[in-house]
Amino acid sequence: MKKMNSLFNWTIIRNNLKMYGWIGILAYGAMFFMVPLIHIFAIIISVLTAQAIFGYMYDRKYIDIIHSLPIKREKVFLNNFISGAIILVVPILLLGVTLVIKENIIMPMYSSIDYNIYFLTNDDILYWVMHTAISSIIIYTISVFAAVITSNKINQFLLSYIIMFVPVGLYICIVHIINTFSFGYPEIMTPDTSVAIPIVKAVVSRYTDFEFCLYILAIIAIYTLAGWLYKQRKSESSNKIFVLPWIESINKYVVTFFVMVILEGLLQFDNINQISKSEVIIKYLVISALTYFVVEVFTKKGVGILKSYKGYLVYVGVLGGIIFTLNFAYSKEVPKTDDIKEIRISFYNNFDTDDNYLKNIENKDLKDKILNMHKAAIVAKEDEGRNIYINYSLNNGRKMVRMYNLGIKYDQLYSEIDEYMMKKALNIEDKDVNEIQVNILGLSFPQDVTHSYSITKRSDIQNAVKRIRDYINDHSFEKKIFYSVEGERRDNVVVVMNDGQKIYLFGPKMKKLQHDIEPYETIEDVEIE
Amino acid sequence: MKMIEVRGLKKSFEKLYVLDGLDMNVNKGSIYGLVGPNGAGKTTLIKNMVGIYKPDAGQIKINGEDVYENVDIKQRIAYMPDENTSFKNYSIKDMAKFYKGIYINWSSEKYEKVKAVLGLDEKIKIDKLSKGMKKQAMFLLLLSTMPELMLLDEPVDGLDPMVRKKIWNIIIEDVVEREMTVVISSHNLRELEDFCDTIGIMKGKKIVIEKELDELRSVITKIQVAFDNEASREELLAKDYILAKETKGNMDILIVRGSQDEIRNEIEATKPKLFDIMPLTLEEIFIYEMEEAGYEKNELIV
Repeated sequence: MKKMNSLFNWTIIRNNLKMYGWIGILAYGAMFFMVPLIHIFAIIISVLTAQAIFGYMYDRKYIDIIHSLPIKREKVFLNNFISGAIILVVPILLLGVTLVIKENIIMPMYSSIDYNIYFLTNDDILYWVMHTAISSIIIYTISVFAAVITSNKINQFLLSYIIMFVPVGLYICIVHIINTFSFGYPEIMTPDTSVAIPIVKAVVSRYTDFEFCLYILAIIAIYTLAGWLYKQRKSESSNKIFVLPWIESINKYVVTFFVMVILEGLLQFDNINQISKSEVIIKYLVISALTYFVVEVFTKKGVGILKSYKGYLVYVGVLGGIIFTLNFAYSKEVPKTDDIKEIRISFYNNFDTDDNYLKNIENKDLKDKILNMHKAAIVAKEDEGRNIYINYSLNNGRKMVRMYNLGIKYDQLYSEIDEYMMKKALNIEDKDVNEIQVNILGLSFPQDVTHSYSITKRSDIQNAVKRIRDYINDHSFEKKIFYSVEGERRDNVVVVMNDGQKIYLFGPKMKKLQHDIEPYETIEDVEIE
Repeated sequence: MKMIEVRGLKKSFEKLYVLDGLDMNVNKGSIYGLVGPNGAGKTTLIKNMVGIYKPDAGQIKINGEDVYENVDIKQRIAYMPDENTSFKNYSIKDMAKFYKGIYINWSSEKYEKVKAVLGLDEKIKIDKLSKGMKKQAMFLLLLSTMPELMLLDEPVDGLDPMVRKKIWNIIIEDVVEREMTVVISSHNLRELEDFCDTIGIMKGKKIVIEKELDELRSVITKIQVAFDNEASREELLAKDYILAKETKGNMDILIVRGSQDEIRNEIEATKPKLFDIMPLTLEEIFIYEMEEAGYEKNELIV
């Protein structure tokens, strides 16, 4: 209790609730009557609460009083933060309790039908309470962060929302620059970035358990950062947009970068494949210079703007370095044969770097061919054809990944690699195989009816593995079978290894293979899904 | 015993120094008057002393400890800003409740007593009080925290004499009873001279003169003197303890360094026709002190 008392200051909390508790009462009332709009409402009320609680920072009279009190600044911050959290969460909890009472006690009294079909279950209400509470608190925390870095309520309000889009925006802009200036960058599947934008998450989608945890961690992290900044912040802070000079600098560079990338993107009238890089660089220079100095004019209010050209030179230097690295070092790099420990290839994607997906090439001859193809691809810059992902593991421990397109002239190499990989993949002992799944697409309409069965008997597996090897090793059209380590293909044979790895077999002669490996007794107990 | 010891204090705003190498000493139980023109940095100094501002450089020791973020020390300080503040819509009672929760030494007994002396209605919202009443309400709240040190930023400037006297009386009571220390700022020396025992004068981002008044009064004396004998007059006027002179007819008005007794002996030895010791205001003393310290007379416009 003593520890609790040393952390919390009930006088500060009580005082805040006395002054701003009405926000919570208002929130409860509003939520009660506007349940459908609740999340939009939460987004606004969270920011307003942060503004009410931390607004004293912008008023010299109030901040002087607060900071003259015998309470450490971090404790002032903590207790103010808690006050706001109480104002936000208590109405949500109360509304949750109200809903539970309504759904479990009041509604059944008036309803003769099975109300559970129409109304909320307790689980629904619990999820709703957690969703709304976590959404409110993360937005509130971000808004408190915004409050700490700026110097008036309008800025704080706007920044609260702007900040939420910065991480995703930066990510998109950086990927755009990499795609523009590099050749061979493995395009990864666009991840779902909505989780990084709390207001989007709050309104449109459900949280997974993982996202709940992620948000709680994010709240702690942002709180800690804001608390640290609060201590750095001076009581006598000026009326600039950003009260700490180094945050002002970060902002300057971030805004310059955003405007540069986005505006250049908007000015791209041509086909994206035909843009000239030098043209992009010129546009980047012009836009960034203008933006940089406009931002300087706004933040410095006209004092010492010309002196800040050095900061711009730093920006140009860093940007130039990145573009140079992407364009030359990155795009033209081919590892030396002696440095390579392993080469792994995939034709599908590089998103999952699980070793099972990428087959190690051990054949010296094939390795050389891949390296030559890599060198040729850098020169040829093909952008059509089959994707090939090359994963190098170098002797110094570095991993290097590139993606190229293999045009028609590489069909031979493609087949060779494909063949090699299939052989390697299926160069297995039947004792390593756990089961073989056979999925047969029906011939009659509707086509999505699939017959499936598994081969699990040892003797049947032995027979099947023998047959499959036979097909793989024979490249005649009669027995052409392809191989993949991923897939949802319905008409296939899936070899499941003891370690869980799956190898998918498919191709024009699939029906024949399926027939050849089918054990006699399974014919009778074909399952219909 | 020193209550406050400031050494080499520097504080800047936007790279502009407001305090630059300031030293200050306040004895325990003393009433220290901080005097300087508007903009001299008095408020900034006080805000540094109460831990609102963090010094750029230098030290502020209160009871021998740094004040910034020092909860124990700040518990013992009562600070009165130049602008009155309470939280919005708070009555005196609400503020009292708040302070009671914050200050461990809060005395409800003291609160009731001072409230009765000042005749304040605790239910009235502080925002609605007149300027003088607000100040009184603030004094009520601050004194109830039983501070060891009061830092008052222009607390009596612009108040009517009755209110001012009332406030001074309660302050002095605590100084006498509990050996409370008071630092009080004003741009007007006259506001302070009747109550302070020490005066610090701020000028050019520093405290240029810091003296106990008893000491000051004992070192500078104003006299008027007339001679029959011109030679005796010449002889006297040539003495180096004369700081300033003014001649009216055959009467010389002199400001001299030295206590009244010393001066009396000195002068009477020269057999003047007329000799009088005249009252010297605090303001005059400081003007001559400043001149001694190398400042122009008109630099001390207080």
